[in-house]
Amino acid sequence: MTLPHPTAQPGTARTVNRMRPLAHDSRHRRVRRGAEFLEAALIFPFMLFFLIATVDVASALLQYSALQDVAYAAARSAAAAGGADVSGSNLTETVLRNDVSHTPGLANKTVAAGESSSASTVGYIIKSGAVCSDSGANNHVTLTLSTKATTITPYLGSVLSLISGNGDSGSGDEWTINATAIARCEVIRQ
Amino acid sequence: MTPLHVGTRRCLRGGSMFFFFAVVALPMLLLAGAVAIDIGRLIVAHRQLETSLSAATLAGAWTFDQSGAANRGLDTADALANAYATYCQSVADVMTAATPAEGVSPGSAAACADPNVARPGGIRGDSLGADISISNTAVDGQQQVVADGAARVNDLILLGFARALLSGGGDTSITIRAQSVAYTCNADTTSDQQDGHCSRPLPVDVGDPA
Repeated sequence: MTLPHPTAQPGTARTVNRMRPLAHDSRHRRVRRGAEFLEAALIFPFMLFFLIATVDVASALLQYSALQDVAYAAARSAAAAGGADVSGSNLTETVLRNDVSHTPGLANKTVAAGESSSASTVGYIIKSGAVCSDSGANNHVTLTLSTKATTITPYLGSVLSLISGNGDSGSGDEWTINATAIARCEVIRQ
Repeated sequence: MTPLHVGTRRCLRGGSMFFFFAVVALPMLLLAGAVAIDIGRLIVAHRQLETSLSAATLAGAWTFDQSGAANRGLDTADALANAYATYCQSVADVMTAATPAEGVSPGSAAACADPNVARPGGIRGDSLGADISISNTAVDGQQQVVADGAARVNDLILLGFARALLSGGGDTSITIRAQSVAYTCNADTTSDQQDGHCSRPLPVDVGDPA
């Protein structure tokens, strides 16, 4: 069956066979395939960026959640023992080392007193309740833990620092996470 | 017909690449970033609220246990007071991601002195609230200290905008809720702790109290 070509001028005898692929259609398909490939190539970096950023954010939040859990567990242990730093034993550090080594997201980090200085350490500061007393600030054990989460995504550290709202710093590919926990002293030593 | 003719020479010549980045890629990036920050803030605030409530219920359960077996089920006022005091202290020191719309700042000690911060009745509208109760129905000799808490996460970006749009107002905050339950020990406290029936941990042996 032959039909007039859509672009054929009236009065001309030009016709096309619709059953046969035309060179024009073939070329059009090739151009379209090329365009689709280029579109995919343009989108791919963004998709990759989103994917890596999502993994980075999830990983950082996992670390935050784990740090909060560990902080609370350590504060509770200290509260049950009558203080975070009693009888000359570094109870908090011992408990933290044990908890951190068993916590997903933190397991490969080491524990040290003070602010965390790198992504491989968890720092701790005893804010109150080093030795539990019956009244005042020391009737609670307050423990602040910190660590740094490194991200693959550029500048995500700065974005993550907006999340917790407690002055956590972030720069480039690093986010300093702080987690604080409180537990009521259960043994009074002073 | 492909409106932008992306990928064709005509497209590249016509500046559609710029159009693509300006209209599709960059806004997509910003929207994804905004949602990530919002969700992150909600997660962090929720974890902080849970931690505060846990501290409160455990303090309540511990105080309740301290009252002794003879008073069990009778002396709950001290336990509640202690639970609220602990929650209050925790709000002051732990809660940083949720900010009251007005009034007290949870980052300051004033939060603990403010009687509106934590009182029975749940969220107070302008602050962080908790409704803490001790149930009168004991299970196996243990009683429950239950805390329901709420906190408001303000100034959310995209989720806040959606919230404001849905509520028809300018409120860009979202209220989160959490609950914590702690169990008191029963009369035989020592064996109960060893069996792990109550919420208190086993004491760590670091020597006798001075």
